[in-house]
Amino acid sequence: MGNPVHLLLAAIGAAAVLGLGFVGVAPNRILSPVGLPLWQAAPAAFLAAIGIGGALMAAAGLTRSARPATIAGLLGSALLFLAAFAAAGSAAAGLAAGSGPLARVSLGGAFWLLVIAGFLGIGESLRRSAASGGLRIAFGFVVLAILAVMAGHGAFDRLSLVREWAGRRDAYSVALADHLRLVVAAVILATAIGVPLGLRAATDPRFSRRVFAFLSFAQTIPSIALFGLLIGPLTALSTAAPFLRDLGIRGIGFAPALIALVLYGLLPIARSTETGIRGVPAAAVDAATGMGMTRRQILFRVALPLALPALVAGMRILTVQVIGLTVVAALIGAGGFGSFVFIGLGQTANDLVLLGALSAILLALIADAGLGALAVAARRIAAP
Amino acid sequence: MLRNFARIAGGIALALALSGDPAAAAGDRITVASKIDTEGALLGNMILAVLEHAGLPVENRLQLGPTKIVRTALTSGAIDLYPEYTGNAGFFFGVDSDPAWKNADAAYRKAAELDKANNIVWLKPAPANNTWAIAVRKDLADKNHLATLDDFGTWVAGGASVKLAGSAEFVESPAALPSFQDAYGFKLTADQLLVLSGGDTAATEKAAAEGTSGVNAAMAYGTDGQLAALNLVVLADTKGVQAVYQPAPTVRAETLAKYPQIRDLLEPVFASLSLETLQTLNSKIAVEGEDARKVATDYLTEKGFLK
Amino acid sequence: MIEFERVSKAYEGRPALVDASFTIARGEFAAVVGPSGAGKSTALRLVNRMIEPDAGAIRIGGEDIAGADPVALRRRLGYVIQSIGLFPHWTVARNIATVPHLLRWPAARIEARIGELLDLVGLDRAAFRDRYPHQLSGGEQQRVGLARALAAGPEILLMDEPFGALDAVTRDSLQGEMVRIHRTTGKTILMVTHDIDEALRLASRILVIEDGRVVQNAPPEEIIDSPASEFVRTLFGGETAHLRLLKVRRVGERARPGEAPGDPVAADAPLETALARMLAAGVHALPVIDPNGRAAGVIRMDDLVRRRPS
Repeated sequence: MGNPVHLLLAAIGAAAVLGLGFVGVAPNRILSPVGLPLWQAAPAAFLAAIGIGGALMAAAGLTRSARPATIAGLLGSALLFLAAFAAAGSAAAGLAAGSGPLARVSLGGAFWLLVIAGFLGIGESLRRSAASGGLRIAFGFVVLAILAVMAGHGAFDRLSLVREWAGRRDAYSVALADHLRLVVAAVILATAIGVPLGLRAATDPRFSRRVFAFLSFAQTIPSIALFGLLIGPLTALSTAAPFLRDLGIRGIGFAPALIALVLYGLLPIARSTETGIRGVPAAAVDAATGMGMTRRQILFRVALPLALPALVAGMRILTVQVIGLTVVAALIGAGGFGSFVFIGLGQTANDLVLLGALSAILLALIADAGLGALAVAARRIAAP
Repeated sequence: MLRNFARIAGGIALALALSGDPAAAAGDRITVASKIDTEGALLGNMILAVLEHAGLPVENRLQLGPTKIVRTALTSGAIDLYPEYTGNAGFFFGVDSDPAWKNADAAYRKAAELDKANNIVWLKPAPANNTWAIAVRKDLADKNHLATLDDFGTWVAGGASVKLAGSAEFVESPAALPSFQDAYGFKLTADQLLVLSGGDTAATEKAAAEGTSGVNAAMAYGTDGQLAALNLVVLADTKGVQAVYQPAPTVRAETLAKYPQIRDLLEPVFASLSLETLQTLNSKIAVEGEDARKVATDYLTEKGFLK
Repeated sequence: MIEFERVSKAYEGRPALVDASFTIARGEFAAVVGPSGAGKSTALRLVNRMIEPDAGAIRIGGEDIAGADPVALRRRLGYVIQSIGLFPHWTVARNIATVPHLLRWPAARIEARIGELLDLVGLDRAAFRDRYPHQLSGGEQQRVGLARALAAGPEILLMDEPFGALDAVTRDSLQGEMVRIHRTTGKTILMVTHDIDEALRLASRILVIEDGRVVQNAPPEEIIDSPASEFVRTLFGGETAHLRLLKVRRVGERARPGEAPGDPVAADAPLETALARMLAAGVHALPVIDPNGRAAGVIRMDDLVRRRPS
């Protein structure tokens, strides 16, 4: 038996194509789209490519020998993934040409499921293959490069999602910058405060109970409420002490967003620091003390390196969480991708909402992958 | 050592904050903001374009956030100027039950008077009332000859099959649906209401346009741009039940004293904005997906405000 | 070299060490024995100030350690613990170099020292230098632990149940190494153990602690011949205490020049092996060979029962 995962993914893809719309057409950007199945929306060539990709995946699931199964799975998944994108772009171009200038072509459930099936299939094949890490990354880059070339040739220009972006390129760059600035500042500050809290908590059970009771409580405050709660005191503060205003601390915008994000971010980073430090063998610390290491040397040469994997895992959670929460920060004037989400919600322009949400998700995926590489390095340091 | 680390990290965070806080007022510039909605984007871009054209130093903080945020930003001095609706002053000062809000001129005078305490000046508003209204499907309106709320009241009282989508606030606030019902002599039962808690007019109008759950009437705002695209018509409030919400630039007195030409630059622009004009322009942004700045400058150029 | 003067220490009112006074001379191998919780480890950890005394003074080389900087003090003392406590993220070489690094020795000197120490504890330089602790057996780990403790040439070696977690065969071999290392380095050693045989085999002086009090402080044979109390007598085996010496003393310690017929017995075998072989062969003497297989004299029945090594 080959890899049943590929068979399952192929089956999901087939069911999605049969049961769900591949793209949706709406008379304008605020009305709900009407779904069209793949075979009505896209030219036959793309239909065939998707079919071949799915068939290869299914074959990978049924083949007995491992190596051909892996190759068929990999090629089939990649073909399915890329063909789904190409078909969507082509369908949008075709459908938009036949409808009015206001008509919008959005992506349907079948498209998303095909892309996800292809993506998971590629990941599964690469995991199963004997290929080296470098080769896997190279394969990923090739797939992304093909997508980029298609995008560069305008293959997706008629999709509603892309039109939403094209209509506000400048605003998009500003939103990206605002989002990144908040995330980077919040991650750095939360780490700078959370790690010392976690260190103290690891050795002081009473402190640990108190600080985690508070941080867990903070997590239960809805983000929008916390942002709102911070406006009053910060405005009062900046009115009372005008020099704070010159430093950028005021009731709206960056300052309250940053404070709220840091407050939410402290729990994962402090908790994982505590867990990491608690996991350091007591014998190693005893030996280090007995051999004349100072507290600082024990921390930096022994405890922190050994706690590093837990710490990086905490930073990973922290970063992904902050990227998501920053979306809400748009409501207090902090900008970021959330502004698209909320403007889109206000206009019921779903593709604008999607533009903001997908951008944040993509950012989270990239950050997660980057920190995943860091986690591997951290594990090599702690357990060579 | 950890303290040093925290100090460095704090420095980086602060540097990042100063490098581009979207809500930061930058020195001597006139910081122009707007609400995070379609009309906010339109009016904000108009203000920005006109002031820029006149050579004034401006800072763009458009689409800053919802009303509470933008208003707080203005009163705290984080921004200098943004468009606000006259009727909202009633809520800012907790005097929304005052009958003055139901008359356009009185509402403007009252808002301007109240905000003197905050050193905020209200410039003359646009002659367009973006107030709570009821919209129905065009096919329904044509068939039953519905043009005013009087028509609607008679029609509903006569046993028409109607279902209205509205926010919880619209349905429950005495100033909203209940006052329409009292004034126009109809009463919607619970079965005839679809309450979208927290719903805005975009959601209620879409429900009516698409007939979601049998909805064929919706809570609406007068200047909503999507009404035409959604094939909905607004029923006229002939008895003036609702407070008047005319958009006007609100500006910090300090800023206006420094740049008195702001008044002469903006008042003619707002004077040109009728209900139909705003609906059309809003529709270009919300329905056609055009860039708000382009819609604003196109209009201003066409009207000769920009040369 | 190590001097305790009326030292007391209690934990939350429970005494761990009471009015303890004793002296350990330079080059001596002292073992602290007693039941669990008697205060053995407390005595050891007071020396490197991992624990501070409630009363009394501890001197090293005549200097009161209360006035010393604990970190500097600990770098002068080797420290070996039962759980070994190697740093898992460092190689064997880096682990051994811990204290030299702290003392900022030049790299070349550290490098040379690592080689010497691997030789001293019987680990192949090339094979072990770059391994990580998890790639070593328990016995190999403790050899590295010992090398690490000796790395910066400490005046004193403190060992807290160093072989307690090892299997019998590994423990026996490491005890043999300890004898050799003590002989070649001449370090003053203070070791805590609950293993009476280990104390008898390795120590030149045994401190017996009962309920926080030092109840006897004497060379091993003296404790066996004249235990200070019924408690000490029982601890060392009561009526059969002297048989323990057959187990811990080595043939080489009692062999004398001469020759005898028959199968030779190894010099590092315990006396009981020689006795068993004599009983088996029905003889009163056996030839002795050293670890290199060369003749090293003879051992007789008389030598087994001799009261003192001559």
